[in-house]
Amino acid sequence: MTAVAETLDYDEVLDHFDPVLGLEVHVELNTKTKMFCGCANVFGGEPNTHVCPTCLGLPGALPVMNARGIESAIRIGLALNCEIAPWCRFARKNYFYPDMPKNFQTSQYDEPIAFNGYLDVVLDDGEVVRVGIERAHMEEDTGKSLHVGGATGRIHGAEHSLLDYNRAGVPLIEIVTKPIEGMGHRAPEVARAYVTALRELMLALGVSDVRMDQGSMRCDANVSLMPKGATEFGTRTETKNVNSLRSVERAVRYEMTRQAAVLRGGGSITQETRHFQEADGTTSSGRPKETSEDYRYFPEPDLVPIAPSREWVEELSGTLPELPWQRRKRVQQEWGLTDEETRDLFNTGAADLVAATVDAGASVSEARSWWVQYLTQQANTREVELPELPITPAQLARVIELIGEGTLTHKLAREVVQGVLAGEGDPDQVIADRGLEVVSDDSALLAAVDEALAAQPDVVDKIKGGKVQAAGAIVGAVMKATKGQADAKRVRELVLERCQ
Amino acid sequence: MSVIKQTAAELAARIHSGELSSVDVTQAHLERISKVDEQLNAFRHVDADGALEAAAKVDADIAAGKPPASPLAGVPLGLKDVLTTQGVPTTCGSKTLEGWLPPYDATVTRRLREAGVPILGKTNMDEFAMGSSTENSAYGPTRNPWDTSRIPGGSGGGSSAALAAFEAPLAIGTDTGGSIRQPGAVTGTVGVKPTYGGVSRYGLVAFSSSLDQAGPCARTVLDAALLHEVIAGHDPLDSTSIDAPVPPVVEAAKQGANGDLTGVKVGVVTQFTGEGYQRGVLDSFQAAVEQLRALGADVVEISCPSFDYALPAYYLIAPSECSSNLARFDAMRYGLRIGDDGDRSAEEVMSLSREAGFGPEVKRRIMIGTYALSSGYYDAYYGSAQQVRTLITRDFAAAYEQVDVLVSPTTPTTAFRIGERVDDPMAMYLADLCTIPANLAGNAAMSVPSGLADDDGLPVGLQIMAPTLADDRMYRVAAAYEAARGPVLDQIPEL
Amino acid sequence: MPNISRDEVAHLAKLARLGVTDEELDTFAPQLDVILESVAKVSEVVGTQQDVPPTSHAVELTNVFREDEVRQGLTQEQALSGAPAAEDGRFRVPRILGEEQ
Ligand SMILES: [Zn+2]
Repeated sequence: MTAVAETLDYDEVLDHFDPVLGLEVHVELNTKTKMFCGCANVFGGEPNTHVCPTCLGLPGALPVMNARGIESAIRIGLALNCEIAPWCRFARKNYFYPDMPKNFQTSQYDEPIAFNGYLDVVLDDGEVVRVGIERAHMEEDTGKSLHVGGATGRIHGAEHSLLDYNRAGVPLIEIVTKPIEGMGHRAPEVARAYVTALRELMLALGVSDVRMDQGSMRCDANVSLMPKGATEFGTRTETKNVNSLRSVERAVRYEMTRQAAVLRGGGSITQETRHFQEADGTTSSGRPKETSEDYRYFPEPDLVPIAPSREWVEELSGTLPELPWQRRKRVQQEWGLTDEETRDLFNTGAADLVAATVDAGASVSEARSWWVQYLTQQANTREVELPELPITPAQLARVIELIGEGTLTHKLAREVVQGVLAGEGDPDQVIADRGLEVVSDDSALLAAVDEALAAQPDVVDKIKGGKVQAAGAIVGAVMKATKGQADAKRVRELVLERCQ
Repeated sequence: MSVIKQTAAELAARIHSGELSSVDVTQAHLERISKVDEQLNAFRHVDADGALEAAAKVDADIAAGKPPASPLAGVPLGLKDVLTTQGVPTTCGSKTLEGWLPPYDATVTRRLREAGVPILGKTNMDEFAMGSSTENSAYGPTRNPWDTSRIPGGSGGGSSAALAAFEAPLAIGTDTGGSIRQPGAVTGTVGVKPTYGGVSRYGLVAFSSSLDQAGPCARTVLDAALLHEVIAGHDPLDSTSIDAPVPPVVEAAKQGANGDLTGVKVGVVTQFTGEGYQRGVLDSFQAAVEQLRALGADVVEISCPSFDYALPAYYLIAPSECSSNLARFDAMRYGLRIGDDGDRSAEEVMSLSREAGFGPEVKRRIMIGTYALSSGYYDAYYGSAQQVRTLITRDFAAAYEQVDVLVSPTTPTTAFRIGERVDDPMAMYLADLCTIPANLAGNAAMSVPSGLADDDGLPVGLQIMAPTLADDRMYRVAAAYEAARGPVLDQIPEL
Repeated sequence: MPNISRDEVAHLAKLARLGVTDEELDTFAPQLDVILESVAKVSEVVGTQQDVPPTSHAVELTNVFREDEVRQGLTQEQALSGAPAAEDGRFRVPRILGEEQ
């Protein structure tokens, strides 16, 4: 085997190939109960405490569909501009795996509840891309396994595994795109923007917590390359375990460069499942399957068909909330933002946070500037999503309030925010602990002012001579002396008073 | 007459009037079980304590002047070992579930408890209800009380044998392709497969979900009807349960007992006579048809051509569903685990455990089902079988436009000898030839004793079928026929 | 159409996670062959008829749902009561070779 570079330079990939993407996103619904039984649908909890005969797959137990789960699926379908099947069924997908209590997954197969839709996705520069939706279908989640023994607690090398079925039977919606073609170098960005838009949509519908870190939203990315000018898709790989919005973009980009290197080196792509490695942004090959699985699908005899009436679908259509693109328009008008400001607001994922901060009493411009600029930088540095930053809109609103009162300068406010982010408590707590309050006690300030005036008699003369702008030098010296804790505005006033 | 020979209706009347105690009745049956069951193996597990406790509760209520919880309160029963019973072993006749104590009751079990019916124990069956002889039980075959060298039918041979041997006045069976009716026929007892969806399947360990149906087994039509009304009715835990009133089967059985079938149209299924049927069975069937005519019924012949394909369709659909239903028995969460030596993988342990836990018939059906559902074969096998199902349903619908009920022999032969067909699956499958169509269409059907075959002196059953949710029609005809024919079980030899 | 070889039976057994001995393969292969040969009859009858939709359910019901309300399930102890092995409130199973799907 000749040694070839593992990845190809990104620009070079695009010189030779067109990428084709297919994204499969699993969304866990936030229904109160599981899809087919009355067990609570909650994240975590003591193992095997949210289980019953049905979700444990005990002999004799039977499933019954959760009406809310079906409703959510239809609402998602409608929001994705899909057709809603007038009649569809669940099927059994048969394969053996210990995290699946019945050794079949109850899932929709060739009769999805929603199909043939689209989602309009706004890219960073404001360009809108329409991503086709192949289908949205319902299925159930599996249990969770804990691998014991072996070096890393991972499946390979483990001595045995421990199973918790609290998650088994939790309703999932799988949303599958049509092939996304013709995106060229923007393919990775489109992938991220699509998943971001989908996430916003789910939040707006209120059907899921869509927490990628907790697995309530999971993305599998199918990537293939075809030589420029070709019409037939290349062999694809399916990358799993892509657990953040950033990772979606990174995983697609990496797969493009890796596949290109293989193809340019004369090799061929193996159709396989690959795993994304958060740490270095690469993907690695899964264990090859001995034979391609034959899932032996057949209609689930324990459940009856779903036949949503037109009236029901229309009624659900009426319950759709303001959808993200509608909201974008409204927010822009209400807050009087420019196109660019609107784009930044939504692209940084700050819109909800800004709104919440405004609700907590802050002005739109202050709230927007904090979230879109300073806090977005902080999130980037920490490599987390904006909402994951450990500061709440209420806390930020308090900081903004303190600035308004003159208790904090902007510089001090940033320190307070840093304190909050560092887990030191609420803004007031951080101010007290770090002793950050603006020095507004005039007597303390006056001493500093007098000292500075005495040190620079020439400046004093200038001010007295009418050159008011010369006061800046004195203010600067006072600020330096008070380590920035003074209110510059007040210092300036005192300087001018003294020089009258 | 001794307590154990009485009908459930008689026992209930005497218990409710305070003349007999449920504890005494239950105790009498427990004694009968300990006396004869060694010869029969009808019971897999006897729950004397549980049964007596339930009986004592009924007696206490009656003594306190409370009305009985149901028309059958206090009358004990044998429950097929395929329905879960909380804290009481449920094996389904399989080694894989040996020692398993379900943490929940089946809906049928719950309804029986609520009705004050003491459960004597769990009755033997073919493993996971797959078989027609009860020889496929991992715990040894059940023997036919008429001749202990013969099979009692299957899969519910235990329930029917227990009735014929007076070990229980009532029993519950499940019927996927004839597992209630065929044992009823070969033991001279009554067995009813209600309309699919009429009785909840929650807690019925699934063999073939779209065909399985629990139903009553008894020695008289009225007893079966009384039990039918106790266990039937909508259950929100079973999606395929029908949300409609239970057909008035007790009323129909009482009406039928007056012996008048004037105006009732009876169709004789022409496909279920002739070649392959035992002469004694056909003679008995002919006599039964004449009897119905004599009672005033209007008898015509009805042809249902697609019934010829019912058996092959059944032996594709049932194994396909079973291959999936039985996948859960993988030794991970419950059941027999073999080979977990700390070195073998979960996959290996699953294979070893399933190899050790399942008998040959279960393995055969799992493999047939796996084959029939495979991508290359699905259309030709499973898909075609589902289409045949449509044709059979259409034949039934056309027939019921002309007649009220259909009749046929329940099974082509009387009880065969133990061991006679074990190595020939196809011969075994023929026992269900006449019973399968009703399962495929989801219709109601029952078997009622039609006397003894004149060639071998063994019991024969008359099958009566009725449309979906018209279970009462067949009860009326069965009760009328039963009243005219007279008892069959009084000819059974002493054990 | 059928004609099941020993190898095919072995493959089916593997798909169905059924250990089978050589002896069983010898018995099962001809038995399955006979059964499949016989049940293949179904495609004959259907082949001659037009417009026959498949029936998956014996009773025509649709839209059977339950309300999204929590129902008492099992305790951890009950859940694990039948487990061949348990540890820390979880089912203990041998090491798993295959990948999650
Ligand atoms: Zn549950």
